[in-house]
Amino acid sequence: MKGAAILIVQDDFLEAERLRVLLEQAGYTIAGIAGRTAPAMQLATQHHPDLAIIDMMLEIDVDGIRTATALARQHGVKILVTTGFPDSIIKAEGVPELACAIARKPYTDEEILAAVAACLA
Amino acid sequence: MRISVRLLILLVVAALPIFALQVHGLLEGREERKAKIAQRALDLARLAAAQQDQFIEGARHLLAAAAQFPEVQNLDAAGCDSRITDLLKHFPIITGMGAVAPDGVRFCTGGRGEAEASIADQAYFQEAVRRRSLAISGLILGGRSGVPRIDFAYPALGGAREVRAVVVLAYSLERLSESLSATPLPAGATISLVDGSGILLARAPPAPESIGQVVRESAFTRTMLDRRQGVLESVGIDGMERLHGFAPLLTSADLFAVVGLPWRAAFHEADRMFWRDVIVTAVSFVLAALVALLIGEHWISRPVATLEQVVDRMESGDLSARARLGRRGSPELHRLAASFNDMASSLQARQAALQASEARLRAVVDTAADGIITINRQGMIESVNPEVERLLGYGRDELIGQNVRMLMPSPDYERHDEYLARYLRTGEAQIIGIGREVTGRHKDGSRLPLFLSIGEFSLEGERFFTGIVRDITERKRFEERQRLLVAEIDHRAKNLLATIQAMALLTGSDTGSVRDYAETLIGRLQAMARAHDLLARDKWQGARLHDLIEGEFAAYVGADADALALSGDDLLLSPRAAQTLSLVFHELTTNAAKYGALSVPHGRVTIRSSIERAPTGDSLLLTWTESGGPEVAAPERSGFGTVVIQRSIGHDLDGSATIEFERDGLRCDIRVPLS
Repeated sequence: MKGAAILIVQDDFLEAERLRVLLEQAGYTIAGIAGRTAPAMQLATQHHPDLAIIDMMLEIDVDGIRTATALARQHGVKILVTTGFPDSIIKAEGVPELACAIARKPYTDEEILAAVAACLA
Repeated sequence: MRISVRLLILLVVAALPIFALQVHGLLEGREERKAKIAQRALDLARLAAAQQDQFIEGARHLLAAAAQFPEVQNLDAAGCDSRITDLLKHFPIITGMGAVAPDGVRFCTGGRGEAEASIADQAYFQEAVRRRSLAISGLILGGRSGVPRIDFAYPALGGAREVRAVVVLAYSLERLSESLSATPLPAGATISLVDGSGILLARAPPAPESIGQVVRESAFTRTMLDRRQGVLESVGIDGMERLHGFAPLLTSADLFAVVGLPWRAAFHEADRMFWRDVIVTAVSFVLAALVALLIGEHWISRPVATLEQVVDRMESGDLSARARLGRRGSPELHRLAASFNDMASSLQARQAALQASEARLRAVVDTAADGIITINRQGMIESVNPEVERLLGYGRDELIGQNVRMLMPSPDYERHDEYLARYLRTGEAQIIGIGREVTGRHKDGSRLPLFLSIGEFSLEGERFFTGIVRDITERKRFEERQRLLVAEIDHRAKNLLATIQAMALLTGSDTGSVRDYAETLIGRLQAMARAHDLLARDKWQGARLHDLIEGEFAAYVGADADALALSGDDLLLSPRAAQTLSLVFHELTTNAAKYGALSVPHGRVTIRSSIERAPTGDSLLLTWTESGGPEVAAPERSGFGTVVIQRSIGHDLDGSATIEFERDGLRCDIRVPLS
C-alpha cells in the first residue's frame, strides 16, 4: 500500500533516520518521527498514521509497549514492533498479541520492508 | 529372697536331721526304759509271788505238824489248846489257830481264839475234807475282831486216811500287808496281793481302807486271769500311773502278786537328757545362725548390696559409680566388683565418646546453613534444627509433632500425605534421594523457594525421612538477575548493532569512494566508542561534558592546544546525552577539520558551555564558534553529518541545534534541557 502514512517511534535517532530514509525511498509517507511516548501520541492524533513502527523500549520513561498499546486502542494504528529483546521477553510482554509484525534487530532493509508490507496488506 | 533368709533356711535344713535323730533317740530311750521297767515289774511280781508261796508252804508245814498231834486226832479239846498255844509262841505272825471236828464244829481254839463255832459251811473246810489236802479261804471279813483275814484248813488224817479232825489257821491281812512291806522296792512302787476276783487282799504301802475292795478295772483282772503273768499299764488306787507286773502264786491258783512301778518318773532322766540335747542344739543353731548371718552380712549381703547400689546408680545414669568392697566380700565378689568397675569404665568411656560424637553431630546440625527436618512415616515432624526455625518463622515447639505439610503451600499441602503413602507403598521415589526445587510456606504465609533433598533411614524398625532445605531465594534472584542481564546485554548488543547498521547505511548516502566511506564510518564508530569508554569509566553513570569534547578534539587535532578554547560550566551528562553529543561533536570536529577552521594552521574553535536557569527547567547551552579558517558558505545539500548535528539532539534529547555559516566561520548553538 504505497503512500500509506507511517509513524516512526524509535529512541535511537540513527535508527529512526535509517527507517525514514528507507521508507521514503520505498514510497511511504512518514507521518512523523518520535523518540518518546508523548510526542508519538501527539503525532498520531495529528496525522492518523496507518502503521506505527515502534521499538520495544522497556525503560521507565520510554515504554514502547505502553505507547504501542495506547496507539492501537485509541487510534486503531497497526503496530510493527522492532526489538533487540529475546523471544522470552517479547512473549512475556504480550507483543505477539499486540503487533502485526515483529522485526528483530538487527534487521535488513528487506526484512523491515516485508514486515511493513505484511502489516499494510 | 534375701541372702540372709536363704542362709537361715540352709541352716534349718542342716539342723533338721539332728533334731530328728534327737527326738528319735528320746523316744527309743523311753521305750527301752519302759521295757526295762516292765521287765522289772514282772520280776518283782514273780519274786513277791515266790515269797508268798514260801509263806504258804511254811503255813502248810505248820498245819501238817499240828495235824499229827494226838490231841488233835483224838479231839482232845484241852490237850489241843495247850499244844497249839505252845506252838504259836514261835509264830507271832499267826493270828489264830485251832481245830474243828470233821463235822466242822470247833473244839480247840489254840489260845488266840476268835473263831466261829462251826465252819462246816465254809468252802475251804469242805475242800480240805474232800481233797484231804491244804485249802485256803478267800477273804474273810468278820469274826469277832472284824479284822479281814484268810484261813488255811488242813485235814488230820488217821491211819486209814480217814479225816479225824481239821486244823485251821487264820492269817490277818494287815499282817500280810506288813510282810509285803518288807519286800525291798524302788520309790513310788507298790506291791499287792489280789485274788482271782480282783479283790485286794494286801498292799504295801498299806491302804487298809482298800483291803477287800475291787480296786482294778475288770479288764485288768480278766487279762491277769487269762495270761497268768505279764505286765499292764494301769492307774493305781492312789491315782498314779504305773506299770503293773503280775504273777500267780504256785501254791494257790487263785492268788496273784502284783507289783506296780511308776514309769513316768523313769522317763525323767531320758526327757531331761533329751531337753538338754535340744537346748544345746538350739543354742548351737542360734549361734550358728548368728555367725552365718554375720558372715553372710560381711562376706555376701553387704558386698552384694554395695554392688546393687552401684548398679542402681549406673542405671540412673551415673556411670562414675564404682564398687568398693574394701576388706569385705569373698574373692568371687571382689572379682565381680572388679568386672563391674571395668564394665562401668568401659561404658563411661564409650558414653563419653558417644556424647562427644553426638555433641559434634549436634553442633554440625545446629550450625548447618541448611534447614534439617526429620519426619516419621506418618509425616509428623520429629526434629528440626535452628535454621528451619529461622527459615520458616516457626518455633521448634510449634513444629515438633505436627504434620510437615504445614510448611508447604497448596497443592503440596493437600497432597503430601498421599506422596508419602505412595512412596511407602510403591517405593517409587519422586524426590527422595533426588532433590528438587520446591516452594515452602513461611509462618507469615509468604512463599519462599527452597531446594529440598530427602534422605531416608531406619532406626529400631521405624522409618524416618530427613529433609534438608536450602533457601534459594538469593540464588533465584541471582538467576533472575543473570537472566535479565543476559537479556539486557543481548538487547543492547542488538540495539548497538542496529545503530551501527543504521549508521553504516546512512553514511553511504553522502560519501564518494569506498575508502572515503570506510574512513568516515570508522571515524563515527570511534566517536561512539570513545563515548562508550567515557561512560564505562564512570560505570555508565554519565560522562563529563568537557572530557567528552576534549577527547573528540584530541582524536582529530592532536596536541595543538591553541586550536580549542573550551570554557564555561562543566557538568555530568546522562549516558544518552553523552552518546548523542559525542556524535554531534564528532561531526562538528570532522567538518571543521575538512572544511572549516581546523583545516588551516591558525584556525581555532571556541566552545562555551553554560547552564541556563529557568522556572520551566534548566538547560545546557553550548556555543561552537570557528574562527581563523577559510570563508565558509552553506552547502547546497545537507549531508548526513549536518542531519546528525541538526536533528539528533531534537530527537534524542528534546533539545535543538542550529548551524549558521558566518564570515569568520561556522557557528553552532546547542540547547539541551536538563530534566
